[in-house]
Amino acid sequence: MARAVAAVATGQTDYAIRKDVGIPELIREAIDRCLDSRDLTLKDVDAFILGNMEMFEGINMVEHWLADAIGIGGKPLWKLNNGGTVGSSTAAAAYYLASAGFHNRILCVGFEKQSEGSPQSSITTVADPIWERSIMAGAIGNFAAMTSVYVNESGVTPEQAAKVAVKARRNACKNPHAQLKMPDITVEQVLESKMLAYPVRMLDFCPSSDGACAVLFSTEDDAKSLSPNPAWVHAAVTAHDQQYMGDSPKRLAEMRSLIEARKRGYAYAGIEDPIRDIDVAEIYEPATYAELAMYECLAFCEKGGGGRHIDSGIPEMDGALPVNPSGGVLSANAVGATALARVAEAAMQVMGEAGEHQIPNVKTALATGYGGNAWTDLLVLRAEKP
Amino acid sequence: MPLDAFIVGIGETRHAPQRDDVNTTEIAWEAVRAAIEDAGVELNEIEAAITASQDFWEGRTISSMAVNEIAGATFKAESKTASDGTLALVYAATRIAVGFDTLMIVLAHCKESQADAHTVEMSAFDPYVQRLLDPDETVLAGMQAQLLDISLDDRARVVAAARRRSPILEPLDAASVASSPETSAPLRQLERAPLMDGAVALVICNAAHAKRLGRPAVRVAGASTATDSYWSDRDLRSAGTVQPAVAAALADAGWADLPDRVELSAPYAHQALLWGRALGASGPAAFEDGGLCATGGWLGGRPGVVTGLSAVAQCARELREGSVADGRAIAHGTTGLLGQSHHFVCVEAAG
Repeated sequence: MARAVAAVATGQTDYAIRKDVGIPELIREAIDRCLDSRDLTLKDVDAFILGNMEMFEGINMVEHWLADAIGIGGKPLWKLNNGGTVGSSTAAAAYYLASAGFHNRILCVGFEKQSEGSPQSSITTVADPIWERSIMAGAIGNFAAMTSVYVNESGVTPEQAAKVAVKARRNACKNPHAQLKMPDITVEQVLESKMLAYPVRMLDFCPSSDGACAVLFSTEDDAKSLSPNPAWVHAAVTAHDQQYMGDSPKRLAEMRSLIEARKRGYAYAGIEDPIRDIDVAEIYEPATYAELAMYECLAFCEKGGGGRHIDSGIPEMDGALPVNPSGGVLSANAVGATALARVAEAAMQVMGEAGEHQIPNVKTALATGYGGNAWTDLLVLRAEKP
Repeated sequence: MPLDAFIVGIGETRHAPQRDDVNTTEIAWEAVRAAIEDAGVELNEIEAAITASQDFWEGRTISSMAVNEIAGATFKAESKTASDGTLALVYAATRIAVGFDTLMIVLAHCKESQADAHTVEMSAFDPYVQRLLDPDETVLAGMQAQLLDISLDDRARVVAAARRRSPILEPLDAASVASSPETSAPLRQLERAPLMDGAVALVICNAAHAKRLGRPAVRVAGASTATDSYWSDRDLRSAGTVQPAVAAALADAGWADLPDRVELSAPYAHQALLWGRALGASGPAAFEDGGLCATGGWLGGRPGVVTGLSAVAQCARELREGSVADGRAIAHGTTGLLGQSHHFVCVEAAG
């Protein structure tokens, strides 16, 4: 019999170019904030799962170097490395390892210190070395190509994409950890920002951040004693697209891994109408156009309706299904931490601990992780125990 | 809750120092194809995959990109443990234990020939202070060997035993090991496991699926993993977490004692002896008689990352052949500099 598992505590660093700390200090900041929030110590943790893109900082077996900063003390230490999804993949792994009773209290830690590495050159190595690497030029060019296809298919406009940027950076002003807080940002400002690669402009894209996130998971055995309002995991699914870019021609216009993850995740969690059944979503949107495409793939709206969905106001803080009240990835992106931060933010909303960006009466929250269209993780967290 | 997953398919490549005939995807497919054929299932029946690889050895960030399609994970789940393959098996077994998946691929792959070993190993050292010394794993292993009271003769006997038992590498006598060039005092060149290319895949499933397949099955009865402090913060004369990890694995399996069949994985001869001591074996005889490592293990030509899952595969083969007296075996894998993490998997004949 599988045990119910819940997120019971979260901790995040401030996301920025963090010259004030080294990597061990950065992750410890998130861990301490997570455990301190429940008056716990490292002794209360049974196992650790670290998520990080180790080639970004150039540290092989980084979890072993960080073992003492984590406070390992002879305990189990896992390392996952799944691209942009890595943080949500640690959460999914924690769910299965705890649900099966292999570990009890599991602390997931995701981090990236992009200022100490070379993320864009590293991400280029994700492509097949023989067939694709010579034309892969970091994340922005890849996104621009995908976005052009999506714009052509859906008819979304730059103005509609800019509204996503405005929403994110204004929401970020209510999140103490966000990097890009722009209270006065306007659609016009987004449209006039520097063109990175057509049609993606500077303010359409996420920043490059240093930061760490920690989430403590526990089981039905003690979750209620650790948190007054645990965020119970009702679904934790992963889906992959095909390996080569050429095998997935529509990519952003038809995010097959997200669609597959949505179908399975909603089925597990009993979600039939997402606008009705989900109270808040924290999705991994690395660019404005991606968020519009994700509305469609998550069935928040009809196919081709991403632009109209942002026009409707539904994803705003006071809308029917707020998306990324934290400011999302557009306001902070420390890759190894980012997808775990989506899980943390979703958990905080369920636990009623999101502070100024808390959405009232959240019973069900959705979190996604995104790995360049090749992967999607999707988790559903609820106030109600499964 | 017991892990209660069953190994029904085993695939292992021809391991070799340099497999120029295949790329990463192809070498992994070689193992996966053999495993699904062994299990009598089709790739499209696989519900999810857990893989193990190290990006630095593969020269590719998110190195599972190369294999998730051939592991049957298209539009399905795949996660990569950046560790020894034993942990991929444990993670997969938990997904089966909770009933989320019923038929999975576990895959570990590594092409060590494609990387510059010194650069990869140096990248595992503290980037702020230690890397300035341009270290690698052999330098560190030499330092550890200096601290241990283990003779060159004993170390050479362990390597000779591994080579004699290995189905992969040519035999080698102890004198040849002892007279090979010194690499990092007191270590000799042949005391280190050779760099190899290879992959191992297992098909695992739940009890109902194993029964339906009607194939000989081996049960994953228990497992554990434990991690010590970083090398510069611990006593290098100690076997670290070997003892607590093996004790936890036995407890997880509900076994009162260590089985007769143990497959230990160590990249250096002195580490094999050090960790063997922690398991109650004294000296090289336990390696010569096959008690601790009947196949030669890592020193016998398994690629890093793959070694632990290869040990599981070997134990599973013997169990389903009925060649293990008490029907129990324990396989070991290790990750990190000087064995910072140790992983044990208990497997038993499924009746």
